[in-house]
Amino acid sequence: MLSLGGRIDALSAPELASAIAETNGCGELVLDFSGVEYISSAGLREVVRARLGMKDKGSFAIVNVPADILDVFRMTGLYERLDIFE
Amino acid sequence: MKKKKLFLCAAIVAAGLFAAAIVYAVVRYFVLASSDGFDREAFLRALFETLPALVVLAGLSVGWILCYRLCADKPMKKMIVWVRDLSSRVESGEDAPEPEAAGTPGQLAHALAQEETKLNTVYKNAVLDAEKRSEKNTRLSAARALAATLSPRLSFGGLTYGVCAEVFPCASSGADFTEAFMLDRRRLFLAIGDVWGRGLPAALFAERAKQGLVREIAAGASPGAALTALNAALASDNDELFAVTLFAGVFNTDTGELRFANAGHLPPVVMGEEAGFLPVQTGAPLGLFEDLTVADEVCALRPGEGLFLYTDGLTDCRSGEERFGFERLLTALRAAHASALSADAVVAKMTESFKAFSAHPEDDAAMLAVYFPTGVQKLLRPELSELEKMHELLDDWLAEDPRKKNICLACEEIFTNIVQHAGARSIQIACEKEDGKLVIRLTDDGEPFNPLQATEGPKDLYGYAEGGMGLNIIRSIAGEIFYRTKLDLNVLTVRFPIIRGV
Repeated sequence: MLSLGGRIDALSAPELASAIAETNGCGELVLDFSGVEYISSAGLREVVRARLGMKDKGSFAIVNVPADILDVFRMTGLYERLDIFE
Repeated sequence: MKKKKLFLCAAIVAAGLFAAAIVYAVVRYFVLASSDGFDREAFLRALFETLPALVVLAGLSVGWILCYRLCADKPMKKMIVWVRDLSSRVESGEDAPEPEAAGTPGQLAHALAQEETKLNTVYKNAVLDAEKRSEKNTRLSAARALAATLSPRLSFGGLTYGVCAEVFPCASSGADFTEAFMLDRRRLFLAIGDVWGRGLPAALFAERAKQGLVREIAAGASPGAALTALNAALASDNDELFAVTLFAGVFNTDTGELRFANAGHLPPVVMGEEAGFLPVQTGAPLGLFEDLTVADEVCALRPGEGLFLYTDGLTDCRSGEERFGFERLLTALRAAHASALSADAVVAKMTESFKAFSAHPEDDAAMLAVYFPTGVQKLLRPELSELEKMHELLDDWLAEDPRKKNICLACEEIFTNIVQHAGARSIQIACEKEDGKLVIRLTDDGEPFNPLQATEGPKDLYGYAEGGMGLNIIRSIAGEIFYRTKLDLNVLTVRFPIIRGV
Protein backbone atom coordinates (compact mmCIF):
# COMPACT_ATOMS: atom_id res chain seq x y z
CA MET A 1 0.00 0.00 0.00
CA LEU A 2 1.38 3.34 -1.06
CA SER A 3 -0.36 6.50 0.17
CA LEU A 4 -0.09 9.41 -2.21
CA GLY A 5 -0.83 13.03 -1.38
CA GLY A 6 -0.61 16.59 -2.63
CA ARG A 7 0.20 17.53 -6.17
CA ILE A 8 1.55 15.00 -8.62
CA ASP A 9 2.74 17.07 -11.59
CA ALA A 10 5.69 16.98 -13.95
CA LEU A 11 7.88 18.28 -11.11
CA SER A 12 6.93 15.77 -8.45
CA ALA A 13 6.35 12.76 -10.72
CA PRO A 14 9.98 11.56 -10.34
CA GLU A 15 9.37 11.26 -6.56
CA LEU A 16 6.42 9.02 -7.24
CA ALA A 17 8.53 6.96 -9.65
CA SER A 18 11.22 6.36 -7.02
CA ALA A 19 8.62 5.57 -4.32
CA ILE A 20 7.10 2.97 -6.63
CA ALA A 21 10.55 1.58 -7.48
CA GLU A 22 11.13 0.99 -3.75
CA THR A 23 8.11 -1.30 -3.59
CA ASN A 24 9.74 -3.56 -6.16
CA GLY A 25 9.32 -7.15 -5.07
CA CYS A 26 5.96 -6.79 -3.37
CA GLY A 27 3.30 -9.15 -4.61
CA GLU A 28 0.57 -6.58 -4.32
CA LEU A 29 0.56 -2.85 -4.96
CA VAL A 30 -2.26 -0.58 -3.86
CA LEU A 31 -2.07 3.14 -4.56
CA ASP A 32 -4.15 5.17 -2.12
CA PHE A 33 -5.17 8.41 -3.83
CA SER A 34 -7.18 9.85 -0.95
CA GLY A 35 -4.75 12.73 -0.33
CA VAL A 36 -4.13 13.60 -3.96
CA GLU A 37 -5.19 17.13 -4.86
CA TYR A 38 -3.94 17.28 -8.40
CA ILE A 39 -2.46 14.96 -10.99
CA SER A 40 -1.18 15.65 -14.48
CA SER A 41 -0.23 13.34 -17.32
CA ALA A 42 3.33 13.06 -15.99
CA GLY A 43 1.94 11.59 -12.74
CA LEU A 44 -0.47 9.34 -14.61
CA ARG A 45 2.40 8.00 -16.68
CA GLU A 46 4.15 6.80 -13.51
CA VAL A 47 0.94 5.13 -12.36
CA VAL A 48 0.70 3.31 -15.69
CA ARG A 49 4.35 2.28 -15.45
CA ALA A 50 3.70 0.88 -11.96
CA ARG A 51 0.73 -1.08 -13.30
CA LEU A 52 2.84 -2.51 -16.12
CA GLY A 53 5.63 -3.35 -13.66
CA MET A 54 3.21 -5.42 -11.59
CA LYS A 55 1.75 -7.18 -14.62
CA ASP A 56 3.39 -10.57 -14.13
CA LYS A 57 4.16 -10.25 -10.45
CA GLY A 58 0.91 -9.75 -8.68
CA SER A 59 -2.13 -7.55 -8.29
CA PHE A 60 -2.47 -3.82 -8.69
CA ALA A 61 -5.20 -1.49 -7.56
CA ILE A 62 -5.97 2.19 -7.14
CA VAL A 63 -8.24 3.19 -4.27
CA ASN A 64 -9.93 6.22 -2.73
CA VAL A 65 -9.79 8.42 -5.81
CA PRO A 66 -11.37 11.87 -5.28
CA ALA A 67 -13.98 12.87 -7.84
CA ASP A 68 -11.97 15.51 -9.68
CA ILE A 69 -8.95 13.23 -9.94
CA LEU A 70 -11.26 10.57 -11.32
CA ASP A 71 -12.23 13.06 -14.04
CA VAL A 72 -8.61 13.21 -15.14
CA PHE A 73 -8.50 9.44 -15.38
CA ARG A 74 -11.62 9.60 -17.52
CA MET A 75 -10.28 12.35 -19.80
CA THR A 76 -7.26 10.30 -20.70
CA GLY A 77 -9.16 7.06 -21.19
CA LEU A 78 -7.26 5.38 -18.35
CA TYR A 79 -10.38 4.85 -16.27
CA GLU A 80 -11.42 1.81 -18.29
CA ARG A 81 -7.93 0.35 -18.43
CA LEU A 82 -6.96 0.36 -14.77
CA ASP A 83 -8.52 -1.25 -11.70
CA ILE A 84 -9.86 1.79 -9.94
CA PHE A 85 -11.91 1.68 -6.79
CA GLU A 86 -13.49 4.95 -5.91
CA MET B 1 -12.59 68.96 -66.22
CA LYS B 2 -12.87 72.42 -67.76
CA LYS B 3 -9.32 72.22 -69.01
CA LYS B 4 -9.89 68.89 -70.66
CA LYS B 5 -12.80 70.32 -72.68
CA LEU B 6 -10.72 73.27 -73.80
CA PHE B 7 -7.98 70.92 -74.90
CA LEU B 8 -10.47 68.82 -76.89
CA CYS B 9 -11.89 71.89 -78.66
CA ALA B 10 -8.43 73.04 -79.65
CA ALA B 11 -7.61 69.60 -81.01
CA ILE B 12 -10.81 69.56 -83.10
CA VAL B 13 -10.12 73.05 -84.53
CA ALA B 14 -6.55 72.04 -85.39
CA ALA B 15 -7.71 68.84 -87.08
CA GLY B 16 -10.33 70.86 -89.03
CA LEU B 17 -7.73 73.35 -90.26
CA PHE B 18 -5.47 70.46 -91.25
CA ALA B 19 -8.25 68.83 -93.27
CA ALA B 20 -9.13 72.16 -94.93
CA ALA B 21 -5.51 72.70 -95.96
CA ILE B 22 -5.31 69.23 -97.51
CA VAL B 23 -8.63 69.70 -99.39
CA TYR B 24 -7.37 73.09 -100.65
CA ALA B 25 -4.15 71.44 -101.87
CA VAL B 26 -6.06 68.70 -103.74
CA VAL B 27 -8.51 71.15 -105.39
CA ARG B 28 -5.65 73.50 -106.32
CA TYR B 29 -3.76 70.61 -107.97
CA PHE B 30 -6.74 69.62 -110.12
CA VAL B 31 -7.34 73.25 -111.13
CA LEU B 32 -3.71 73.70 -112.15
CA ALA B 33 -3.17 70.26 -113.73
CA SER B 34 -3.20 70.52 -117.54
CA SER B 35 -3.00 66.94 -118.80
CA ASP B 36 -4.49 63.56 -117.82
CA GLY B 37 -1.19 62.20 -116.52
CA PHE B 38 0.65 63.29 -113.36
CA ASP B 39 1.50 66.97 -113.63
CA ARG B 40 4.63 67.42 -111.51
CA GLU B 41 4.72 71.18 -111.76
CA ALA B 42 1.09 71.63 -110.68
CA PHE B 43 1.64 69.21 -107.73
CA LEU B 44 4.68 71.10 -106.51
CA ARG B 45 2.92 74.44 -106.78
CA ALA B 46 -0.10 73.23 -104.79
CA LEU B 47 2.27 71.77 -102.20
CA PHE B 48 4.24 74.98 -101.78
CA GLU B 49 1.05 76.99 -101.43
CA THR B 50 -0.24 74.84 -98.52
CA LEU B 51 3.01 73.71 -96.87
CA PRO B 52 3.64 76.91 -94.82
CA ALA B 53 0.12 76.76 -93.44
CA LEU B 54 0.60 73.08 -92.48
CA VAL B 55 3.94 73.76 -90.77
CA VAL B 56 2.55 76.67 -88.76
CA LEU B 57 -0.46 74.60 -87.71
CA ALA B 58 1.71 71.65 -86.62
CA GLY B 59 4.01 73.96 -84.68
CA LEU B 60 1.10 75.56 -82.85
CA SER B 61 -0.37 72.15 -81.94
CA VAL B 62 2.90 70.81 -80.55
CA GLY B 63 3.44 74.02 -78.61
CA TRP B 64 -0.03 73.89 -77.11
CA ILE B 65 0.34 70.24 -76.02
CA LEU B 66 3.75 70.88 -74.43
CA CYS B 67 2.43 73.93 -72.62
CA TYR B 68 -0.52 72.01 -71.24
CA ARG B 69 1.53 68.99 -70.08
CA LEU B 70 4.49 70.77 -68.57
CA CYS B 71 3.15 73.90 -66.97
CA ALA B 72 -0.25 73.14 -65.62
CA ASP B 73 -0.41 69.48 -64.84
CA LYS B 74 2.85 68.40 -63.32
CA PRO B 75 2.78 69.37 -59.64
CA MET B 76 -0.77 68.18 -59.14
CA LYS B 77 -0.05 64.91 -60.91
CA LYS B 78 3.04 64.30 -58.83
CA MET B 79 1.09 64.84 -55.66
CA ILE B 80 -1.74 62.57 -56.71
CA VAL B 81 0.72 59.80 -57.56
CA TRP B 82 2.49 60.24 -54.21
CA VAL B 83 -0.71 60.26 -52.21
CA ARG B 84 -1.96 57.16 -54.05
CA ASP B 85 1.33 55.42 -53.47
CA LEU B 86 1.31 56.29 -49.78
CA SER B 87 -2.27 55.26 -49.20
CA SER B 88 -1.82 51.96 -51.01
CA ARG B 89 1.25 51.26 -48.89
CA VAL B 90 -0.64 52.12 -45.77
CA GLU B 91 -3.50 49.87 -46.85
CA SER B 92 -1.21 46.97 -47.62
CA GLY B 93 0.14 47.35 -44.12
CA GLU B 94 3.68 48.01 -45.30
CA ASP B 95 3.99 51.02 -43.07
CA ALA B 96 1.85 49.78 -40.22
CA PRO B 97 4.04 49.54 -37.15
CA GLU B 98 4.26 45.89 -36.15
CA PRO B 99 5.20 45.69 -32.50
CA GLU B 100 7.68 42.87 -32.85
CA ALA B 101 9.11 44.42 -35.97
CA ALA B 102 9.59 47.79 -34.34
CA GLY B 103 12.92 49.14 -35.39
CA THR B 104 15.89 50.26 -33.41
CA PRO B 105 16.25 54.01 -32.89
CA GLY B 106 18.82 54.00 -35.73
CA GLN B 107 16.37 52.53 -38.20
CA LEU B 108 13.72 54.82 -36.90
CA ALA B 109 15.89 57.87 -37.50
CA HIS B 110 16.65 56.64 -41.00
CA ALA B 111 12.97 56.10 -41.74
CA LEU B 112 12.25 59.53 -40.32
CA ALA B 113 14.82 61.20 -42.52
CA GLN B 114 13.37 59.47 -45.57
CA GLU B 115 9.86 60.46 -44.62
CA GLU B 116 10.98 64.01 -44.11
CA THR B 117 12.55 64.32 -47.55
CA LYS B 118 9.42 62.90 -49.06
CA LEU B 119 7.27 65.30 -47.09
CA ASN B 120 9.35 68.28 -48.10
CA THR B 121 8.75 67.45 -51.76
CA VAL B 122 5.06 67.08 -51.17
CA TYR B 123 4.84 70.33 -49.24
CA LYS B 124 6.66 72.16 -51.97
CA ASN B 125 4.39 70.72 -54.61
CA ALA B 126 1.29 71.26 -52.54
CA VAL B 127 2.16 74.85 -51.71
CA LEU B 128 3.15 75.65 -55.30
CA ASP B 129 -0.03 74.09 -56.49
CA ALA B 130 -2.14 75.93 -53.96
CA GLU B 131 -0.50 79.19 -54.88
CA LYS B 132 -1.11 78.64 -58.56
CA ARG B 133 -4.76 78.03 -58.00
CA SER B 134 -5.78 80.72 -55.64
CA GLU B 135 -9.25 79.26 -55.21
CA LYS B 136 -10.01 78.58 -51.58
CA ASN B 137 -11.46 75.17 -52.30
CA THR B 138 -8.24 73.78 -53.63
CA ARG B 139 -6.31 74.92 -50.57
CA LEU B 140 -8.77 73.35 -48.18
CA SER B 141 -9.12 70.07 -49.98
CA ALA B 142 -5.32 69.81 -50.21
CA ALA B 143 -5.20 70.34 -46.43
CA ARG B 144 -7.76 67.63 -46.01
CA ALA B 145 -5.90 65.25 -48.30
CA LEU B 146 -2.70 65.91 -46.38
CA ALA B 147 -4.36 65.27 -43.03
CA ALA B 148 -5.96 62.07 -44.22
CA THR B 149 -2.80 60.64 -45.75
CA LEU B 150 -0.43 61.73 -43.00
CA SER B 151 -2.56 60.48 -40.09
CA PRO B 152 -3.96 57.26 -41.52
CA ARG B 153 -6.02 54.88 -39.43
CA LEU B 154 -3.83 52.96 -37.02
CA SER B 155 -4.55 49.64 -35.43
CA PHE B 156 -2.09 47.22 -33.96
CA GLY B 157 -1.35 45.35 -30.79
CA GLY B 158 0.49 42.59 -29.05
CA LEU B 159 -0.27 40.04 -26.40
CA THR B 160 -0.40 42.67 -23.70
CA TYR B 161 -1.85 45.74 -25.37
CA GLY B 162 -3.92 47.03 -28.25
CA VAL B 163 -4.02 50.47 -29.84
CA CYS B 164 -6.28 52.04 -32.45
CA ALA B 165 -6.46 55.61 -33.79
CA GLU B 166 -8.55 57.41 -36.35
CA VAL B 167 -8.67 60.99 -37.66
CA PHE B 168 -11.76 62.50 -39.26
CA PRO B 169 -10.70 65.58 -41.22
CA CYS B 170 -13.70 67.75 -42.04
CA ALA B 171 -14.22 69.59 -45.32
CA SER B 172 -12.76 72.90 -44.26
CA SER B 173 -9.88 71.90 -42.06
CA GLY B 174 -7.29 69.18 -41.51
CA ALA B 175 -5.18 69.95 -38.49
CA ASP B 176 -5.83 67.10 -36.03
CA PHE B 177 -3.35 64.27 -35.88
CA THR B 178 -2.53 61.08 -34.02
CA GLU B 179 0.59 58.99 -33.77
CA ALA B 180 1.43 55.63 -32.20
CA PHE B 181 4.33 53.25 -32.64
CA MET B 182 6.51 50.92 -30.62
CA LEU B 183 9.73 52.47 -29.32
CA ASP B 184 11.09 49.02 -28.50
CA ARG B 185 9.58 45.65 -27.63
CA ARG B 186 7.84 47.00 -24.57
CA ARG B 187 7.24 50.73 -24.87
CA LEU B 188 4.45 52.16 -26.95
CA PHE B 189 4.57 55.82 -27.88
CA LEU B 190 1.25 57.56 -28.43
CA ALA B 191 0.23 61.14 -29.12
CA ILE B 192 -2.72 63.21 -30.18
CA GLY B 193 -2.64 66.83 -31.27
CA ASP B 194 -4.83 69.63 -32.52
CA VAL B 195 -3.59 72.73 -34.33
CA TRP B 196 -5.47 75.99 -33.80
CA GLY B 197 -5.98 77.11 -37.33
CA ARG B 198 -7.48 75.99 -40.59
CA GLY B 199 -6.53 75.06 -44.08
CA LEU B 200 -3.27 74.02 -45.63
CA PRO B 201 -0.90 76.13 -43.50
CA ALA B 202 -2.43 74.63 -40.35
CA ALA B 203 -2.11 71.12 -41.76
CA LEU B 204 1.53 71.79 -42.58
CA PHE B 205 2.10 73.15 -39.08
CA ALA B 206 0.48 69.99 -37.65
CA GLU B 207 2.84 67.85 -39.67
CA ARG B 208 5.81 69.92 -38.56
CA ALA B 209 4.76 69.44 -34.92
CA LYS B 210 4.25 65.71 -35.38
CA GLN B 211 7.60 65.19 -37.07
CA GLY B 212 9.39 67.26 -34.45
CA LEU B 213 7.77 65.33 -31.62
CA VAL B 214 8.60 61.93 -33.14
CA ARG B 215 12.21 63.05 -33.67
CA GLU B 216 12.58 64.08 -30.01
CA ILE B 217 10.98 60.88 -28.72
CA ALA B 218 13.06 58.69 -31.04
CA ALA B 219 16.17 60.45 -29.73
CA GLY B 220 15.25 59.24 -26.25
CA ALA B 221 13.52 62.28 -24.72
CA SER B 222 10.75 61.80 -22.16
CA PRO B 223 7.32 63.08 -23.25
CA GLY B 224 7.74 66.26 -21.16
CA ALA B 225 11.23 66.96 -22.47
CA ALA B 226 10.08 66.24 -26.03
CA LEU B 227 7.17 68.68 -25.77
CA THR B 228 9.42 71.33 -24.21
CA ALA B 229 11.95 70.99 -27.03
CA LEU B 230 9.22 70.91 -29.63
CA ASN B 231 7.74 74.12 -28.25
CA ALA B 232 11.06 75.90 -28.50
CA ALA B 233 11.47 74.77 -32.11
CA LEU B 234 7.92 75.74 -33.11
CA ALA B 235 7.94 79.10 -31.31
CA SER B 236 11.23 80.17 -32.89
CA ASP B 237 9.70 80.07 -36.36
CA ASN B 238 6.01 80.80 -36.16
CA ASP B 239 5.18 84.09 -37.88
CA GLU B 240 1.58 83.09 -38.48
CA LEU B 241 1.12 82.43 -34.73
CA PHE B 242 -0.24 78.93 -34.99
CA ALA B 243 -0.52 76.88 -31.81
CA VAL B 244 -0.86 73.18 -31.17
CA THR B 245 -2.29 71.35 -28.16
CA LEU B 246 -0.67 67.99 -27.62
CA PHE B 247 -0.91 65.00 -25.33
CA ALA B 248 2.01 62.58 -25.61
CA GLY B 249 2.77 59.47 -23.61
CA VAL B 250 5.00 56.43 -23.43
CA PHE B 251 3.12 53.36 -22.31
CA ASN B 252 4.91 50.34 -20.85
CA THR B 253 2.98 47.39 -22.22
CA ASP B 254 4.41 45.05 -19.57
CA THR B 255 3.49 46.99 -16.47
CA GLY B 256 0.76 49.34 -17.62
CA GLU B 257 2.74 52.40 -16.55
CA LEU B 258 2.08 55.51 -18.61
CA ARG B 259 4.56 58.38 -18.56
CA PHE B 260 2.91 61.36 -20.18
CA ALA B 261 2.96 65.10 -20.68
CA ASN B 262 0.18 67.46 -21.60
CA ALA B 263 0.41 70.73 -23.48
CA GLY B 264 -3.01 72.33 -23.27
CA HIS B 265 -4.84 69.31 -24.61
CA LEU B 266 -8.13 67.95 -23.24
CA PRO B 267 -7.64 65.34 -20.49
CA PRO B 268 -7.85 61.72 -21.69
CA VAL B 269 -10.45 59.37 -20.27
CA VAL B 270 -9.46 56.28 -18.32
CA MET B 271 -11.86 53.46 -19.08
CA GLY B 272 -12.11 51.03 -16.23
CA GLU B 273 -14.89 50.04 -13.90
CA GLU B 274 -15.84 53.72 -14.04
CA ALA B 275 -14.94 55.98 -16.96
CA GLY B 276 -13.29 59.15 -15.67
CA PHE B 277 -10.87 61.86 -16.74
CA LEU B 278 -7.20 61.26 -16.12
CA PRO B 279 -5.95 63.99 -13.78
CA VAL B 280 -3.45 65.93 -15.90
CA GLN B 281 -1.71 69.27 -15.66
CA THR B 282 -3.36 71.62 -18.12
CA GLY B 283 -0.17 73.07 -19.57
CA ALA B 284 -0.24 75.51 -22.46
CA PRO B 285 -0.44 75.08 -26.22
CA LEU B 286 2.92 74.84 -27.98
CA GLY B 287 4.34 77.34 -30.45
CA LEU B 288 3.45 80.63 -28.81
CA PHE B 289 5.86 81.21 -25.90
CA GLU B 290 9.48 80.28 -26.29
CA ASP B 291 10.20 79.70 -22.59
CA LEU B 292 7.57 77.07 -21.86
CA THR B 293 8.41 73.93 -19.86
CA VAL B 294 6.15 70.89 -19.99
CA ALA B 295 6.32 68.52 -17.03
CA ASP B 296 6.32 64.72 -17.09
CA GLU B 297 3.59 62.92 -15.19
CA VAL B 298 3.05 59.23 -14.46
CA CYS B 299 0.02 57.04 -14.01
CA ALA B 300 -0.62 53.32 -14.32
CA LEU B 301 -3.36 51.44 -16.08
CA ARG B 302 -4.58 48.36 -14.29
CA PRO B 303 -5.16 45.18 -16.28
CA GLY B 304 -8.37 45.58 -18.19
CA GLU B 305 -8.23 49.35 -18.25
CA GLY B 306 -7.95 51.51 -21.33
CA LEU B 307 -7.15 55.10 -22.18
CA PHE B 308 -9.09 57.21 -24.66
CA LEU B 309 -7.56 60.32 -26.25
CA TYR B 310 -9.63 62.70 -28.37
CA THR B 311 -9.66 66.22 -29.78
CA ASP B 312 -12.26 68.92 -29.23
CA GLY B 313 -13.72 68.21 -32.66
CA LEU B 314 -15.42 65.27 -30.96
CA THR B 315 -16.75 66.98 -27.83
CA ASP B 316 -17.61 70.26 -29.61
CA CYS B 317 -19.45 68.82 -32.58
CA ARG B 318 -23.03 70.00 -32.82
CA SER B 319 -26.37 68.55 -33.65
CA GLY B 320 -28.57 71.59 -34.02
CA GLU B 321 -27.87 73.74 -30.96
CA GLU B 322 -26.70 70.83 -28.86
CA ARG B 323 -23.07 69.86 -28.42
CA PHE B 324 -21.69 66.32 -28.05
CA GLY B 325 -20.14 67.36 -24.75
CA PHE B 326 -18.24 65.57 -21.99
CA GLU B 327 -21.22 63.84 -20.37
CA ARG B 328 -22.12 62.15 -23.63
CA LEU B 329 -18.46 61.27 -24.15
CA LEU B 330 -18.25 59.48 -20.79
CA THR B 331 -21.57 57.70 -21.29
CA ALA B 332 -20.56 56.48 -24.75
CA LEU B 333 -17.18 55.33 -23.46
CA ARG B 334 -18.76 53.44 -20.57
CA ALA B 335 -21.02 51.61 -23.01
CA ALA B 336 -18.11 50.88 -25.38
CA HIS B 337 -15.93 49.64 -22.52
CA ALA B 338 -18.67 47.37 -21.22
CA SER B 339 -19.17 45.74 -24.61
CA ALA B 340 -15.55 44.83 -25.29
CA LEU B 341 -12.16 45.48 -23.83
CA SER B 342 -10.52 46.32 -27.11
CA ALA B 343 -9.07 49.48 -28.63
CA ASP B 344 -10.51 48.71 -32.06
CA ALA B 345 -13.98 48.14 -30.65
CA VAL B 346 -13.90 51.36 -28.62
CA VAL B 347 -12.82 53.46 -31.61
CA ALA B 348 -15.46 51.78 -33.77
CA LYS B 349 -18.20 52.45 -31.20
CA MET B 350 -17.11 56.04 -30.63
CA THR B 351 -16.98 56.65 -34.39
CA GLU B 352 -20.52 55.35 -34.58
CA SER B 353 -21.70 57.67 -31.77
CA PHE B 354 -19.87 60.64 -33.30
CA LYS B 355 -21.24 60.10 -36.81
CA ALA B 356 -24.73 59.41 -35.52
CA PHE B 357 -24.68 62.64 -33.51
CA SER B 358 -23.38 64.96 -36.20
CA ALA B 359 -23.62 64.15 -39.89
CA HIS B 360 -21.57 67.17 -41.03
CA PRO B 361 -19.10 68.15 -38.31
CA GLU B 362 -17.59 71.63 -38.61
CA ASP B 363 -14.18 70.74 -37.24
CA ASP B 364 -11.85 67.77 -37.52
CA ALA B 365 -11.98 65.15 -34.86
CA ALA B 366 -9.42 62.56 -33.87
CA MET B 367 -9.46 59.71 -31.40
CA LEU B 368 -7.00 57.17 -30.10
CA ALA B 369 -7.64 54.29 -27.73
CA VAL B 370 -5.12 52.06 -26.01
CA TYR B 371 -5.92 49.01 -23.91
CA PHE B 372 -3.97 47.18 -21.29
CA PRO B 373 -5.77 43.88 -21.50
CA THR B 374 -7.43 42.29 -18.61
CA GLY B 375 -5.39 39.46 -17.26
CA VAL B 376 -1.76 38.89 -16.63
CA GLN B 377 1.36 37.64 -18.28
CA LYS B 378 4.68 36.19 -17.29
CA LEU B 379 7.86 35.16 -19.01
CA LEU B 380 8.98 31.67 -18.03
CA ARG B 381 12.17 29.74 -18.61
CA PRO B 382 11.62 26.43 -20.41
CA GLU B 383 12.23 24.32 -17.30
CA LEU B 384 9.84 22.15 -15.38
CA SER B 385 10.76 24.04 -12.21
CA GLU B 386 8.97 27.06 -13.69
CA LEU B 387 5.70 25.16 -13.38
CA GLU B 388 5.36 26.52 -9.86
CA LYS B 389 5.48 30.09 -11.13
CA MET B 390 2.87 29.30 -13.73
CA HIS B 391 0.61 27.72 -11.13
CA GLU B 392 1.02 30.77 -8.88
CA LEU B 393 0.10 33.08 -11.75
CA LEU B 394 -2.99 31.06 -12.65
CA ASP B 395 -3.91 30.74 -8.98
CA ASP B 396 -3.94 34.52 -8.59
CA TRP B 397 -5.70 35.18 -11.83
CA LEU B 398 -8.43 32.58 -11.55
CA ALA B 399 -9.06 33.27 -7.83
CA GLU B 400 -12.30 31.46 -7.02
CA ASP B 401 -13.09 30.21 -10.52
CA PRO B 402 -14.38 26.63 -10.26
CA ARG B 403 -12.46 25.74 -13.39
CA LYS B 404 -9.15 26.59 -11.80
CA LYS B 405 -7.89 23.07 -11.29
CA ASN B 406 -8.73 21.95 -14.80
CA ILE B 407 -7.29 25.05 -16.42
CA CYS B 408 -4.07 24.66 -14.44
CA LEU B 409 -3.93 21.06 -15.57
CA ALA B 410 -4.39 21.93 -19.26
CA CYS B 411 -1.76 24.69 -19.01
CA GLU B 412 0.69 22.35 -17.35
CA GLU B 413 0.22 19.82 -20.12
CA ILE B 414 0.88 22.47 -22.76
CA PHE B 415 3.84 23.87 -20.86
CA THR B 416 5.55 20.49 -20.37
CA ASN B 417 4.88 19.71 -24.02
CA ILE B 418 6.69 22.88 -25.08
CA VAL B 419 9.54 22.28 -22.65
CA GLN B 420 10.06 18.75 -23.99
CA HIS B 421 9.68 19.35 -27.69
CA ALA B 422 10.16 22.85 -28.89
CA GLY B 423 13.71 23.69 -27.74
CA ALA B 424 12.50 27.12 -26.70
CA ARG B 425 14.58 29.73 -24.88
CA SER B 426 11.61 31.35 -23.25
CA ILE B 427 7.89 30.78 -22.90
CA GLN B 428 5.40 33.54 -22.32
CA ILE B 429 2.04 32.90 -20.76
CA ALA B 430 -0.63 35.57 -21.13
CA CYS B 431 -4.12 35.32 -19.74
CA GLU B 432 -7.07 37.54 -20.50
CA LYS B 433 -10.83 37.53 -20.35
CA GLU B 434 -12.73 37.90 -23.58
CA ASP B 435 -16.52 37.96 -23.70
CA GLY B 436 -16.67 35.87 -20.54
CA LYS B 437 -14.28 33.31 -21.93
CA LEU B 438 -10.90 32.78 -20.39
CA VAL B 439 -8.20 33.01 -23.00
CA ILE B 440 -4.69 31.77 -22.34
CA ARG B 441 -1.90 32.17 -24.82
CA LEU B 442 1.40 30.39 -24.60
CA THR B 443 4.06 31.79 -26.87
CA ASP B 444 7.51 30.30 -27.30
CA ASP B 445 10.51 30.97 -29.49
CA GLY B 446 11.39 27.33 -30.18
CA GLU B 447 11.23 25.37 -33.41
CA PRO B 448 7.86 25.47 -35.14
CA PHE B 449 5.96 22.82 -33.22
CA ASN B 450 2.26 22.19 -33.33
CA PRO B 451 1.32 20.10 -30.32
CA LEU B 452 -2.12 19.56 -31.83
CA GLN B 453 -0.67 17.59 -34.71
CA ALA B 454 0.28 14.71 -32.44
CA THR B 455 -1.01 11.33 -33.47
CA GLU B 456 -4.07 9.76 -31.89
CA GLY B 457 -4.01 8.97 -28.21
CA PRO B 458 -2.36 5.82 -26.84
CA LYS B 459 -4.05 2.52 -27.64
CA ASP B 460 -2.88 0.29 -24.80
CA LEU B 461 -1.20 0.62 -21.45
CA TYR B 462 2.26 0.42 -23.02
CA GLY B 463 1.28 3.37 -25.16
CA TYR B 464 0.13 5.22 -22.07
CA ALA B 465 3.45 4.62 -20.42
CA GLU B 466 5.10 6.45 -23.32
CA GLY B 467 2.85 9.47 -23.05
CA GLY B 468 0.23 11.07 -25.24
CA MET B 469 -2.26 11.58 -22.42
CA GLY B 470 -1.50 15.27 -22.18
CA LEU B 471 -3.20 16.11 -25.45
CA ASN B 472 -6.30 14.16 -24.42
CA ILE B 473 -6.41 16.20 -21.22
CA ILE B 474 -5.99 19.51 -23.08
CA ARG B 475 -8.67 18.59 -25.58
CA SER B 476 -11.19 17.55 -22.96
CA ILE B 477 -10.74 20.71 -20.89
CA ALA B 478 -10.34 23.45 -23.48
CA GLY B 479 -13.30 24.72 -25.45
CA GLU B 480 -11.26 25.90 -28.41
CA ILE B 481 -7.61 25.51 -29.06
CA PHE B 482 -5.55 26.60 -32.02
CA TYR B 483 -1.96 26.93 -33.01
CA ARG B 484 -0.21 29.36 -35.31
CA THR B 485 3.26 30.73 -35.89
CA LYS B 486 3.76 34.45 -35.83
CA LEU B 487 7.11 36.11 -36.51
CA ASP B 488 9.02 32.89 -35.75
CA LEU B 489 7.07 32.37 -32.53
CA ASN B 490 4.78 29.48 -31.75
CA VAL B 491 1.50 30.76 -30.40
CA LEU B 492 -0.95 28.37 -28.84
CA THR B 493 -4.27 29.92 -27.88
CA VAL B 494 -6.69 28.10 -25.63
CA ARG B 495 -10.18 29.33 -24.82
CA PHE B 496 -12.05 27.92 -21.91
CA PRO B 497 -15.81 27.95 -22.23
CA ILE B 498 -18.25 29.88 -20.11
CA ILE B 499 -19.86 27.86 -17.37
CA ARG B 500 -23.52 28.70 -16.91
CA GLY B 501 -24.40 30.19 -13.60
CA VAL B 502 -20.85 31.19 -12.78
